[in-house]
Amino acid sequence: MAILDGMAIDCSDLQAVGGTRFIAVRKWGASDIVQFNDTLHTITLIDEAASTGATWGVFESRLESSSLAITGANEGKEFSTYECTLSWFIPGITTTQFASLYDFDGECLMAMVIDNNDAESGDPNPSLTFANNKVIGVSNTLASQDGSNAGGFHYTTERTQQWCRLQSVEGGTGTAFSDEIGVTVTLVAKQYEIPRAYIGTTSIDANGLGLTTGS
Amino acid sequence: MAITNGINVKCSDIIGAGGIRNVLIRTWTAADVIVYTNGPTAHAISSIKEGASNATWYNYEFKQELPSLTVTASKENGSTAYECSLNFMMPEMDNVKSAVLQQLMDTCMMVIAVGNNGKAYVLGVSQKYSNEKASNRNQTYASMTGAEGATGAGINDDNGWTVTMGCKQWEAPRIYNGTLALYTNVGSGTGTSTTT
Repeated sequence: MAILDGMAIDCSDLQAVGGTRFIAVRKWGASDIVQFNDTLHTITLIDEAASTGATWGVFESRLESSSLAITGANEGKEFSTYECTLSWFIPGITTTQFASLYDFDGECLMAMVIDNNDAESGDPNPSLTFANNKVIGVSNTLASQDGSNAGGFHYTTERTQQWCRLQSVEGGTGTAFSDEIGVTVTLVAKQYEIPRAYIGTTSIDANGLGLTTGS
Repeated sequence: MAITNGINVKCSDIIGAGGIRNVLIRTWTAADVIVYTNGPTAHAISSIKEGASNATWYNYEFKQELPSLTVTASKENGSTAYECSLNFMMPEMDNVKSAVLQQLMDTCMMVIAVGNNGKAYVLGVSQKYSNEKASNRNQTYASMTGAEGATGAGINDDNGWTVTMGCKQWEAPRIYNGTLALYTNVGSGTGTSTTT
């Protein structure tokens, strides 16, 4: 692609804040339908099946404890490798939390990270949009795919080899009473394109622990 | 946000008295309903209720002219954090005061500090970065960040507990401008107040 324009940095870019607003995770399903817009480098649809929205679990974390790190490297080939690392801290170590984390084990995952920039940093009103998001484990460069589905690529868990996976759960009880008790969860995805933003429909359920994309 | 307003300073602003008149504390509950007011001239909370009921607050009395509220804001990159600290002194370390301290140790709280200027400053209730679906999963609540007890050495020294309530939030403390009824159970010993 020709480079047609550069980029500007304005005041709002400099006021951008760090951290994540929340993290949504789901398992890849054999019937998942994903649509990409390669011109805008976005994902326009993530469905569980035709006309069936995809359900994600929303994982809260302690404020200011979660981050997404992306490391791109090019070794002289026509593609770059992007290692995406998402980690967050879960305070408590309760049975419920462990049971939830155990669901990640050995699974092919996708994760959506919504950052804190959907509302201006000085605006206390929570944003009703989730535009400032990044999806890891869903990519369209060098991914194995089956294009048989009209209107979108039809992925199967077994064949897209760029899913996100659980890399580590680190933490513990600490020793002193004032130590932190909790675990830091790390998900990683190796892909061959920068993480995309999901620009399709998103809705959060009533208790804030479920998110639906797509239809 | 763009700047759309300046400020005026009136005579009443200048003659407003310093210090704190009332300290009210309550624990966040899952049913809490907070109504925030935002605008060019308002950064307030107009209602704090527990479901459909009035919210009950507990009054913490103190030795006069000792409590103070300090707010320190600092900006890093695009993020501005407000560290709020309210301290007040409960004279005489006794059984009841110690019992009160035990209650403050492990709960997530909100605090109203009513200044001698009549303004009710709210700590631990902020909208910025609050949980969108469950108010009690807000992680910017107030907690007891310190307590210092001292008998003093001299006979005329103070004996008592100095309690510090603190919170970190990402917006300036709001003013409570709803209905605040102080000492709704006057005479019962442990005073309570309500917000509606």
